[in-house]
Amino acid sequence: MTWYLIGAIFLLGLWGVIGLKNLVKQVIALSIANSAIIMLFVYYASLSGEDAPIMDTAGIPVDPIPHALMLTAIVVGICIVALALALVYVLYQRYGTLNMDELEDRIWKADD
Amino acid sequence: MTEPVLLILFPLAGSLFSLLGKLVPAKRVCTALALSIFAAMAVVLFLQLPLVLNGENLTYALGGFVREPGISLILDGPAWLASALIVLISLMVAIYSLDRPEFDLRYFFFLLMLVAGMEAVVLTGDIFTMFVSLEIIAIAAYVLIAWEKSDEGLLASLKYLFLSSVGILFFLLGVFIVYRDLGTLSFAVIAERIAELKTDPVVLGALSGENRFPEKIGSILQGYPGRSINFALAALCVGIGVRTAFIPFHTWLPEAHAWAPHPVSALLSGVLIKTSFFALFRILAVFHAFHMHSMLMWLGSITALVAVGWALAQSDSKRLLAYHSISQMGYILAAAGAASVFSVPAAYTHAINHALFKGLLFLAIGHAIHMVGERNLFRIGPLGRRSPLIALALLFGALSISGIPPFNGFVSKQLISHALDGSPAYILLWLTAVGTTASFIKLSRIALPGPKDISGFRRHDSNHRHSAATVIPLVILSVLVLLSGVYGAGYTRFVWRLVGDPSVTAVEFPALFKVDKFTDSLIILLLGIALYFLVMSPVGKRVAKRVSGVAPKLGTVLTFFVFGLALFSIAAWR
Amino acid sequence: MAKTDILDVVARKLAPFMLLFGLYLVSYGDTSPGGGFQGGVVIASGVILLAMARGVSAAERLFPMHRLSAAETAAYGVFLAAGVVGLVLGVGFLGDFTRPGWTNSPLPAARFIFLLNLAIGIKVACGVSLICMYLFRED
Repeated sequence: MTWYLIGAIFLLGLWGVIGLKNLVKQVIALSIANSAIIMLFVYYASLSGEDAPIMDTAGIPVDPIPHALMLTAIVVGICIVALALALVYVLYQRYGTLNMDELEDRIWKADD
Repeated sequence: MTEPVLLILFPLAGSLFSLLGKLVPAKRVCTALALSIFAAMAVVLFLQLPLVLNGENLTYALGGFVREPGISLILDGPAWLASALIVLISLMVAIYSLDRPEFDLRYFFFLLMLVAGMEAVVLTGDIFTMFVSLEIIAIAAYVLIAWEKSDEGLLASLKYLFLSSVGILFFLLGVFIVYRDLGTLSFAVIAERIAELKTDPVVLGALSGENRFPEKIGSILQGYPGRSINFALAALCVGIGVRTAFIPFHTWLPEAHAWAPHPVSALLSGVLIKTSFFALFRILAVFHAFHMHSMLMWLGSITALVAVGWALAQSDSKRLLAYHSISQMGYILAAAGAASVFSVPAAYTHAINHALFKGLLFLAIGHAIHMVGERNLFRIGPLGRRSPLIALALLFGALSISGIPPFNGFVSKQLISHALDGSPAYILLWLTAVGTTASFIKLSRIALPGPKDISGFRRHDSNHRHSAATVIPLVILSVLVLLSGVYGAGYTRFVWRLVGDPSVTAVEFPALFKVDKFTDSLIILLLGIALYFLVMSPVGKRVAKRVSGVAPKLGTVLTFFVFGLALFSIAAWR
Repeated sequence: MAKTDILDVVARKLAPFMLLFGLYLVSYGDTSPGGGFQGGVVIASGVILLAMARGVSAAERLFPMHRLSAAETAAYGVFLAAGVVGLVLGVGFLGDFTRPGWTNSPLPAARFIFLLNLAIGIKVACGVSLICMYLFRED
C-alpha cells in the first residue's frame, strides 16, 4: 500500500511539473516529486530493521545507508528549489507573469 | 602526488581561494591563486599518465573507507583522458574570462565548482556520488548560464533547471532500484552482480519466459532483480540523457548554450555535455548493456541529422553553434554504439576534437559578438580585415567541424566512418556532414576579408580589443586543432592506448591521408556548397524561417521525457 | 497584512531554543541521530523564524549577512583543511589524523567526526539562512 502511495505522490509531482501553468506551483511540484523519491528510499530502509542504527541497540538496526544518501539528496533538492525560486522571482519582477509559455513567447520570439 | 582525489581537491581549493576574495582586499592575489590550481592539476595529470598508460587503474578510497559504502575514486584510461580534456578547456575558458570586469571572483568560484563536479563525475566509483556530482555541475551551470542576468539567459537557465531536475529524478529512481535489487552502489560490485545474474538459473528462467516472476517485487537484498534492473538502466540513461542532450531530450540546449556568457558557452558545449556522455558510457559498460548499443547508434545518427537541419535554419550565430553541438553529440553517440573495436576510441577522439574546435568556435564567435555588439551572423559582417585573428580562428574551427583535411575533425570522422563501416546508419551521418559543411559556409561569411572599417558598427571597448587574455586561448586552441589533425595517426594511437580494448592486440588503424578519403571530403564539400545555395535561395529562407520558429514548450518537452523513458525501457528489456 | 502578537511572541521565545537544539544536534552527531547537516538546518530554521516573524532587518541585526558569509567561507576552509591534513599525514583525504601515530582505522574517532560535523553545521546554517534571507529581503 505504502509503495503505491509513494508512487502516487511521485506521479502527482510529475503531473504538476508538466501540467501546471504557474511557475511557483511547478517548482513546488518538482519538490513534491523529489520528496516522493526520498520517501521511497527511507521507507525501503525502514523495512530492513526495527531499531535506530546507533551503537548498542537492542533490536535489528535499520540499514543506515539510504538515510545518509537521502540527506545528501535533500541538500541538493533545497539548492535547486532555492535557485529556481530566485530565477522565477527575477523573471516575475521583469515581466509580471508566472506562465512559462508566455515567458518563452515574449522573451525568445522577440529576438528573431 | 598521483592520488586521483587531488584532481577534485585542487578545484575545490581554488574555489575556496576565490571565496576568500570576499574577505580580503587582495583580489588579484586571489584570482592568481584560484587559477594556479590548473597548473597543479596539469602536474598531477602528467605524473599519472605513465601509470595509466601501463594499464593500471588508480583507485582511491576517501577517508580510508575501503569497504563498500565508502566513496572510492577510479582513474583509468578513459577517466584520465576526460580529466585532461576538462582541465585543458576550462583553463582556456578561465584565461579568456580574465579581462572582462563582469567575470569577477564569484564567477571563478562557480567555474571551479563546475570543474570539481565534472572531475568527480568522471572519477567516481559509485553511482550515488555520480548523482551528487551531476547535481553540483548542474547548480553551477544554472548560475553561470544566468550570469549576465539577461532575460534570455535567466529563462534559458530556468528551462534547463526544470528539464534536468526532472531528468535527475528518474536517475535517482534508477539508483533506488539498483540499491534495492543489487544491494550495492559501487560500480565494480554492480558489474560483478550483473555478470553473476547472467548465469543465474532463476534469472535465466525468467529471461527465457518460463518463470516470469522469479521473486516478489521488493525482495530485499536477495539478488534476484528480475526485470526491474532493466527499468533501472533505462531510468539512469534518461537522467543522464537529458544532460547529454540527444533527441528527444535536447530542447534545453540551444537556448542555454546560446544565451550563456561566451566563455561559459564554450565550457558547456566543450566539456559539460561530454562529461555526461562519459558518465552514460560508463553506466552502459557497468551494466553490460551491449544490447542497447544499436539503439544508441540509431538515436545518435538521427540526432545528428535532425539537429543539423535545425542548425541550417538559424541566423543567430551562437544558436547555430549550439545546434551543431547537439549534432556532433549525435556523431559521438553513433560512434559509441557501433559494433566495432574502433567504436570507443572513435567516440572519445571525436569528443576531444569536438571540445577543441567547438571551444575555439564559441570563443571566437563570442569575441566577434563582443566587438561588434551584434549576434545575427548576417549582421556581424565580414571581420577578416578588422580582426584577422578571429577570422583565422573561425576558419580553423569551421574547416575542422566540416571534416576537411588536415584538421582534427577529419581524423575523427574517418575513425567514425571506419567504426560504422557498412552500417546503414552511416548514410545519415554522411548526410549530416553535408549539412554541417553548408551551415559553416553560412557562418564563414564572418571570416571574409571585408572592409577595414565600417562606420555603422558600434564599437565596444575598442581600447582592449585584443588583450593577451583573449588572444592566448584562441591561438592555443587553433594550434591544437591543426596539430591533432596533422599528427592524426600518432594521436589516434595515443587515444587507443588509453581507451582501446586491451584484449585486442593487433589493431589495424585506418590510413588517414589517402586519395579516396580526400575525394570523399571533396564530394561532401561540393554538395555542401550546393546545399548552402539552396538554403540561401528565397524558398530556402522561407523554410528556414518556419523551422527556426518551431520551439517546443516546457510542458511538451517534459512529456517527451515520458516517451523517452518508455523508449529506453523497451530498448533495455532483455 | 496585519501581524498578530502571537507570532511575534512565539517566534521570540522559540528561536533561541531552536538555535540551542541545532547546536545539540551538531555536537552529538557522532553518537546519536543528527549531525552537521541536520543541526545546521535546525539552526538556520531558527534564524528564518526570526526573519519571518520580525522581518529580515531584525534578523540581520542579530546575524549580519556579511558575517554569515564570512563564517560560511571559514567553515568551508576548515572542512577542506581537515581533509588535506589527513592527505599530508598519510592517512588519506578526510582520513582521521587525530589518533596517535596517525594510523588509520575504519572507524574514525569521535573528536574527528565532531570537527567535521562542526564545520558542516556552521556552513549549512549560514548557507541556508543566507539563501532565505536573500529571498525574503524586500528591496
